[in-house]
Amino acid sequence: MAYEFDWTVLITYKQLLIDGFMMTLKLSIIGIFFSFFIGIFVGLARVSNNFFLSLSGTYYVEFFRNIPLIVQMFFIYFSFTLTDAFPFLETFGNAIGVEHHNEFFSALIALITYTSTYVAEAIRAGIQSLPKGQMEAAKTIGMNYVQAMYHVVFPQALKMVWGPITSQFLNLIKNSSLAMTIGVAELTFQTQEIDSLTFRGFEAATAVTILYLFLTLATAYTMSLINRYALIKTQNNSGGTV
Amino acid sequence: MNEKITLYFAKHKILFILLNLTYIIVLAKAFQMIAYPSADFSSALTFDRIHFMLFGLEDEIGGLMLTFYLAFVAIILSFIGGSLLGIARWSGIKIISIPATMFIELFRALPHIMVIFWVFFALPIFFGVFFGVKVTSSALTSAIIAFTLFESAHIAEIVRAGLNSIPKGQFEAAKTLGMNSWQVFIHIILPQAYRRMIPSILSQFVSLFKDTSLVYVIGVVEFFRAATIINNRIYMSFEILSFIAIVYFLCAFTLSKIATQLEKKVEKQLNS
Repeated sequence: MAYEFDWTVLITYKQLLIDGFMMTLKLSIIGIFFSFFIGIFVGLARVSNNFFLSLSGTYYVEFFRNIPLIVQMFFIYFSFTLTDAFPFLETFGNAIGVEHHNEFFSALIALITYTSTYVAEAIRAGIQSLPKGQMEAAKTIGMNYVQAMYHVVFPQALKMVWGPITSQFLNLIKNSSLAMTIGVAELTFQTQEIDSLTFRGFEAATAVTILYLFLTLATAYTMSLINRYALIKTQNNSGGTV
Repeated sequence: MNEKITLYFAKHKILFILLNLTYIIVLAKAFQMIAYPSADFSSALTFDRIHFMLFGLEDEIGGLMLTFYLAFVAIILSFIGGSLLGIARWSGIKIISIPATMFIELFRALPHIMVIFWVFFALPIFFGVFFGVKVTSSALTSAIIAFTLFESAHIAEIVRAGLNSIPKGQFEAAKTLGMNSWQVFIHIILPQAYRRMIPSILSQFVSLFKDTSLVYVIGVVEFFRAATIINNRIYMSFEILSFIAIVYFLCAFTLSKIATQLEKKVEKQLNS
């Protein structure tokens, strides 16, 4: 069983790999952005004192967390035509240079809903792990709930759960490879493409593995930079001892 | 007002469950009316199709049963593999800790789907080139190997964290009793560490159960693949996919509730 390695396929088909990398990058960046903010809102809803608000937050989290991501993607993609229902997605897709809007946005929405539940759980855990005295002390000096949450509790909680949130973002980057099952041309899809064009799956998979490693390491490094330069300030301002 | 509602439902748990159930049914029905008014569940989900999705064909295991089988085998294997890797990384003996660290970091950085592809497509080539052995494995075997590799790396990190959380005084106290290192490890450290790890390992197993749907890509006819096979034939995606979403939800939700209960139990034991 002789197998001759031929790494020149990577140079011949480098455009495919670059396109795939850009597509993965787009999915990851937009996904991380939205899942972070939706996660924060759902997490805050879960810890709120309003009974029905926190119940709705629990529904959101339990529902989207317990259904596999691939099922969510298939459900959105095969049951609906997103661009018919929401025409603004077409404009948005054109603006960021995506050709197949339905596939891209189905994958993106599934990624956002799936990851935002984990972010929400992390935020909730962070807020609940802070001592209750923080909230009470902030209220004694005349802040209302929103001010106390914004200035005192939330910055400390965010700093505390930055590690878990980072790992959820890395999971989002890795999970974006599932978009290939509904036909989004991202990195893993291009591996299969090169494999079926040249029957050189081994070389393509090696290159893609290295690209994924690069992407996850770069994200982890960026998040630690944010932690060092942006979040430490909030800690000093609020005087927390986290 | 809010406290009153919370207290009332804490007392009457059955009422709370009933309220949730009605709420969920109303929401689901409203969603279906708005999003997909022409849904026809009774003609999409006949007895034969549901039977195929849950149990597969008559003479072979398939469907939801195969999902459970796959998850069960992968859980046992990855628990053993993850424990060994985690202990190897934690041990600090360079000959075993460096390869273990490399293995763990590599598999934690790879997407799950890539691991499945590697095992299914690239591993036979790899063995052929470097060892001259011809390896052929079925899709199911590849899936089990891929899950074991991937999940062991994740569980190894949990095991390492659990072992690190044991205070140093435990070692010293056990050593003063006259135990050697091996005895200390087996009788003192490991039991305590495993008790602390139970919640995280269980939630990892829940995510493994959800991830079994990924073997769809290499053609193992488990629950999700069975559903897509039926969907490709009759093309009633809304009905079929909402059915499998509900079944997945019920299984994963039950598992994660059991995990939460165990977590509470463990916390009580640790605090007492």
